[in-house]
Amino acid sequence: MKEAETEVREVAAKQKPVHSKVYDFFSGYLLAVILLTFLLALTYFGTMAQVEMGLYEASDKYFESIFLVEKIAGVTFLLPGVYLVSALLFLNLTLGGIVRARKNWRRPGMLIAHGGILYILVAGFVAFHYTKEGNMLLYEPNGSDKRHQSDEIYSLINWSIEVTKYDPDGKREFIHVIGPDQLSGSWKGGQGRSFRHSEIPFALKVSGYEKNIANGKGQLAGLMSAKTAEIKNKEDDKKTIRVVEGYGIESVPTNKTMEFNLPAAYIDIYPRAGDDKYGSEEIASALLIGSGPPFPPKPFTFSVGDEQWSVDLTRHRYTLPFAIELENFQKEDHPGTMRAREYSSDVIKIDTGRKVHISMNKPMRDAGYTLYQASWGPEGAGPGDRLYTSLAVSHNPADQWPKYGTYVIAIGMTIHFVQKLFSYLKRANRSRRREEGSQ
Amino acid sequence: MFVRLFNLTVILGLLGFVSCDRGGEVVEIKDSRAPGRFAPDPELGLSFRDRVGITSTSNPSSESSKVSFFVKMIGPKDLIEDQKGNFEAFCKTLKVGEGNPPFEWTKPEEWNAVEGTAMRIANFNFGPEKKGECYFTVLPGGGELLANLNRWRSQMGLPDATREDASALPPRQFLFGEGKYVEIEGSYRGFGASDAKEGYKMIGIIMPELQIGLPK
Repeated sequence: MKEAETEVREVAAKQKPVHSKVYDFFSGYLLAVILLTFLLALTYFGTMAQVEMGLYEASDKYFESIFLVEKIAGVTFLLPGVYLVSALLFLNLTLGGIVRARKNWRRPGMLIAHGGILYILVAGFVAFHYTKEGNMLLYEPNGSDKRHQSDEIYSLINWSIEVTKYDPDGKREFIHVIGPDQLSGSWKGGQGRSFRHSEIPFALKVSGYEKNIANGKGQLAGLMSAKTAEIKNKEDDKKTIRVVEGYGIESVPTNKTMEFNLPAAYIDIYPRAGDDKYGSEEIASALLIGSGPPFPPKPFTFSVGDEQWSVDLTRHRYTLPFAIELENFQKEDHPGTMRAREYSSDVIKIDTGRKVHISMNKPMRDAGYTLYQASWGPEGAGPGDRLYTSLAVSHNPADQWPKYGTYVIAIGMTIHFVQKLFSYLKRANRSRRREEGSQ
Repeated sequence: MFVRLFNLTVILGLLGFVSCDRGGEVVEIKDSRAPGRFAPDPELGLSFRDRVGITSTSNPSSESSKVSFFVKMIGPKDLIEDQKGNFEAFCKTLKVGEGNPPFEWTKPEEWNAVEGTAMRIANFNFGPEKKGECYFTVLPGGGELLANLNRWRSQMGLPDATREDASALPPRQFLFGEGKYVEIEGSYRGFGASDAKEGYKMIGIIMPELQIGLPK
């Protein structure tokens, strides 16, 4: 009888349509085991790679990618990245742990626990796509300028091109931003990419984007004079280093510490010649080298008609919904050295007057933003030098979600195990009574 | 029902992935932002060299490095006026020599030698209660003249100078080149001090971003 049942099941399985088989695979335990194994392996590879590649590049390759190429024991493998594995795990858990799972409402523990895991995966997705991170730099107040106040944060690793229009008094009217995601295609083999906007009377072509032209000492090792570029072009037929404003650029290996990388690019400005048309001859060209705080902005400036515009390659910035003022910065050195033992900042939220003391493990939380004490500068400052504090600012809508997810999982598991315990005790009680009855 | 929904999602997902923009010819700029209320005003109309801070006439190359030299004397105004002669004498004796760091000088008799630091190659104090100090500093890179002038001015509680102000500083022969001589008065805020000291004077020479050839 059993044999016949098994045979019927096998035949039924063979006759299943393809989409049913695909559904079974994506909701099954096999995929869950494969994905969890990949997660384990990728976490190991990603962690080990940080030693050689640095934090950001390793994170980019292993944890934020869809696919990656990895050499293991001399053999090259194409592996899924953690992003793809997490997405598939979400799908697998939703289909297998929620949709397909038997809904036994007398035992809701496992359902709740699965819900908690899904919530954590969603938190990872939201954090990856919607987190704003950057640093705010505030100088010690000296009564003569406003460098101790700020409502801007800048990214340490992402760069953007800012196109700014000025009023007749030289004040900034508005800033259009070509963000890191839009710039990403511009550095493939020196290819160019043009950008436009209905409010901008020109098209901006960005080409020859190099991720880094600085060496570890901060010297512009990839910047060369026209003469050097000419010699290099002659020496190598394949090289065509472009020279603009008397200088050319070539790439320098990226630094392990991504903050030290300094990008550069050529830009060409083409005037608008109609509603959706642009002239074929550039009216201005420039070589942009990345810059950012603490240095004041020094953009490339040009005119279109009567209007003054500028283009700058700068660390990607966000404007915060509130402003912060540094009231006092304290730094205490190890005795007899110039190495800081501890440092902290007294800040004021300008609009409300709220005063907060920010130190190593005591961040300021306000309006969904968290401000941590990150570092100070300038490096090698001597006695009397005006110091600045650097606050790491993070805005993650899912900041607390993993914590809540963990609570949900804990509740689900507790319900499940308590129910298991009770049913075990019930069974044990029943068998004891049965034994007592038989005696 | 769920199976059908699942299949539809997969197909739509694949179509979406294939049709993603991957490097179109002309791209619409998506983002904009308002300038920060306290963001420093940009310096407009600069040439490439001024934007990047190239002040030397030599070619930029990987075989060269920029170094800045500073000598600074600071203290109560009367004391600094009194020690100007010793400052001049010290600067004249300062030269490249043997050893590491490779510099030599003669200490003025009235000054006390203080142990140097990573930044301070030569370090002295002088005067009653040792309120005056003078030191010679060498910094890799070190920034352009205007940035350094404004750094010094901020230490004295003075507003930033303009590029024209910096260019107008008197030249002064120093070490193996020509530096710019600075003489300013104000309220000096010492390292880590919360209160500024009134009636202070600072004199010094800045020799910014000198291109130094490195051995090949």
